[in-house]
Amino acid sequence: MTGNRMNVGTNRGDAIAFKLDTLLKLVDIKGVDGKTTLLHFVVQEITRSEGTTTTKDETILHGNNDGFRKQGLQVVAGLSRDLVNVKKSAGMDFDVLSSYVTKLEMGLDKLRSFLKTETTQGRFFDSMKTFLKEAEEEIRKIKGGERKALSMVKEVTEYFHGNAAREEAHPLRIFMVVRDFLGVLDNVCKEVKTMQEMSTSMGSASARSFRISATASLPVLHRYKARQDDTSSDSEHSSNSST
Amino acid sequence: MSICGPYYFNLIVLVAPVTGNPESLGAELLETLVKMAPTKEEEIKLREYSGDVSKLGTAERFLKTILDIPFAFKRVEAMLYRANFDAEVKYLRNSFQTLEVSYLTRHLMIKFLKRIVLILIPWLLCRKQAWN
Repeated sequence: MTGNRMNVGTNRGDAIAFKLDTLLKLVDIKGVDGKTTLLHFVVQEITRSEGTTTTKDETILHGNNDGFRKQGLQVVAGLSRDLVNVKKSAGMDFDVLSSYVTKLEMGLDKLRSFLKTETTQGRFFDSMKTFLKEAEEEIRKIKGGERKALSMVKEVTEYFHGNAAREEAHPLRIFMVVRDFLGVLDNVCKEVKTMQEMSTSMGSASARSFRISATASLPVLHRYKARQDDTSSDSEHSSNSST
Repeated sequence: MSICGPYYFNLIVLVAPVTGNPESLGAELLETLVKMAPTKEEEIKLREYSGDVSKLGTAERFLKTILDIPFAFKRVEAMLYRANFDAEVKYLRNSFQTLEVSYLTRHLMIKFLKRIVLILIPWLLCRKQAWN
């Protein structure tokens, strides 16, 4: 079962002990309406909890819960904004970057040997020798940056995949996974926003197929079964979010 | 302006390969020059040509003059490398920095994923119960 595979209970230091891929597949599970996914539900829950943690002043400022909801959505949408570098990283190819470094190094070697064999003195060679020294230092720095970046990428990959040694030829794949997820998240946010706007005008809650109480602890879960025939769960919903 | 015109001719022969300053010539022009490098055979032919220089084509005349500078094309190659160096280093530095920043913002992703998990745990337990 998915729950077992996720190993949500396991605690490996600070690491999340499940595979990112698995989690992303999980939130892609569709609800009974065939349109909304678990991620819609998750976004709604986050939106709700963001709303309830907002201060009183903001309640007065916005006058109603819609303000909360919008703020909550902004929190989720903000993630996509904050991770803009991850999206950029996803578009890179580490092997290509490495080959650029190698090319630059080879060019420098060529220049070095040219300047060694050359017997002629003059402004050209003085100028080039000065450049050579500066360039050697620059390349040393760049190679340091490359090593650092690679070890960081490996650490992130290990964090999300557990075993980087098994990792495929594409070292930056982890960023691609995150980028794709952020893309899906953006769409879900837009849809949830539309659904919320509709629900304020039509009074129907959306993504209800997944709905259980956000504050559900184990005893509450019994209510879920009962609630399957009880469609008037809106009262519970509103009492949660109106605090 | 033609690369073989008198202006560039003077510039290349007299200024750039002597000072080694790549700014006197753009990277584009240097690249064109590198591509113009004659083969060994062509080089020997040009060097050994002892006839009237004015009877040669513009390109040949240009090459013959430039070949008088020792290691002319190696110099041009070195200058091309130098002309592109800063931009290439900058590109690489930025790329590696982007990866570094991605690494440094990983906690945002982790925090969000943990949040998803926390929301999903009750849901999963609930489903499990429903199945049982």
